[in-house]
Amino acid sequence: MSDADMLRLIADIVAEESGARRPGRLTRATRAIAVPGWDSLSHARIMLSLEDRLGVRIDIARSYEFDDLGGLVDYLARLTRRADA
Amino acid sequence: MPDARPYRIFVSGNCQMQFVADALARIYAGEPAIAVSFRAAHRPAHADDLAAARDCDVHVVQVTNLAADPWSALVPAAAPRIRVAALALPGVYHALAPRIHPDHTQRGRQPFYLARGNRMLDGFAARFRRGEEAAPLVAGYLAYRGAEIENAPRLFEMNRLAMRRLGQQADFDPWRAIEPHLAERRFFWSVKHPTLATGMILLRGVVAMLALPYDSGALDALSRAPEYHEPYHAPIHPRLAERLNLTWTGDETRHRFFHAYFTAAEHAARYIAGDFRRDFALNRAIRDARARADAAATAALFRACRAQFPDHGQADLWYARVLHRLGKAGMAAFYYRRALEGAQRHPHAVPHRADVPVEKMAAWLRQCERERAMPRAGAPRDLAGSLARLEAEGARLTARIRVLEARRRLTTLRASARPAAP
Repeated sequence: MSDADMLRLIADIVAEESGARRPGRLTRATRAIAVPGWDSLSHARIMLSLEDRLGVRIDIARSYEFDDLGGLVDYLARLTRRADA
Repeated sequence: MPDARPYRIFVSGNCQMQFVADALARIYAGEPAIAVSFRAAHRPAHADDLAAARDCDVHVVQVTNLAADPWSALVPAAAPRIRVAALALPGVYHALAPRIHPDHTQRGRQPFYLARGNRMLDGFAARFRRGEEAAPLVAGYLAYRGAEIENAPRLFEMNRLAMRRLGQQADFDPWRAIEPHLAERRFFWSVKHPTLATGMILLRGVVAMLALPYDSGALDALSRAPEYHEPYHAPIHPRLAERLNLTWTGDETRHRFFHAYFTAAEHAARYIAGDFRRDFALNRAIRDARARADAAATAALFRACRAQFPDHGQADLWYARVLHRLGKAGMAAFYYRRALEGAQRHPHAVPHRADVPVEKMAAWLRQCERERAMPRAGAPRDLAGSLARLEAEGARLTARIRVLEARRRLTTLRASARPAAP
């Protein structure tokens, strides 16, 4: 999955899990907290939904440590590659 | 010369910290050398807010896993911080809960953090509006065992890990006292609102960290006080409770909904097929009063419904504001006084909490009394006073009627319990 596809998937999931309007274009530099509907309350559900869609298992503590979505996208890419291997 | 400036405790964060700040103000009430102020993390700052943050001696600040407290940057670097974990079990217990919001007078409005549960319930409600029978829809909701139920243990685990991480970042770890008992006790009324017992865990941690002399009697009294975060207790979907092995909730458990208690099934029935206009009439009056809508119409709204809520501080205060705007200073003063007395007597119970500071309420009352004392053109000097007296007499008679009704019920009961004559 390309970075752009992953960012689109994240945008879809944020809207679905938060009930907020679908965020505009997300980039690797976007910070999670700047995305409408993404906050400490919805974060775990967003991660759970990503697990479901990608068939991976996310380290929740790790998921809080990324400065921006680029870090999360790279982390998810590594997990999916490992799952496919 | 001794420093006359009080020791200033600045508290910031969400509703949990509002409880902590209110409670600190209570237990340090007898100590004029200590001042407590609170600012919500989600509200924009005003000029006096900035001063409260800049001039504080200690900052009791909430830490979350994602966002930083916006007030931290304003507090002097030299001021010590007491970091408190922002507790939550986001969306685990309440994934399928209806979330009725008093802003919406006809139907519930869901906040973003219950998107999943509400989306499913909204689907059932839409089917009801299209003409389907309510009972099978409610049964369908209660029997639902979809992905939210299936995935609940994993979401639960994620939340536990997130809270453990937060506990480690804070200066004391309330989560260690909570986690072992999650299955047997309710710790949150809704996603963020803690029960009083949970709030007390936070409060005791903060008091210990502050290490200031305090009134231990006031602290004990707080732990026995009415619940702080009323009046909405999110119902737990029965199948979710089963899946998570929660022993503190089940089909028969009643959850508070403003002035009534409903089972999860009753909540669902109301969400799917109900009409909340009556439940929310008072909220609407309060909302209109705050928004300075037409004063005469708002006063009529209050008159129509406030008798159902005789001890409601918010209703008293905002009815007083409306009467004040209508120039009915005497009646306004009566209700201001009642709201003020209630707020001083029960600063923590939301039904009595007038949602503005006591000082502001007192200032409004003083203004109102000044206006009462001033003769108005074309109005007899003592009209306001007469109105106030009438209002007081009305309250006295209402209380008397209640006593008489209670006596009458007692007499009826005694008569029915009397053995039949041989």
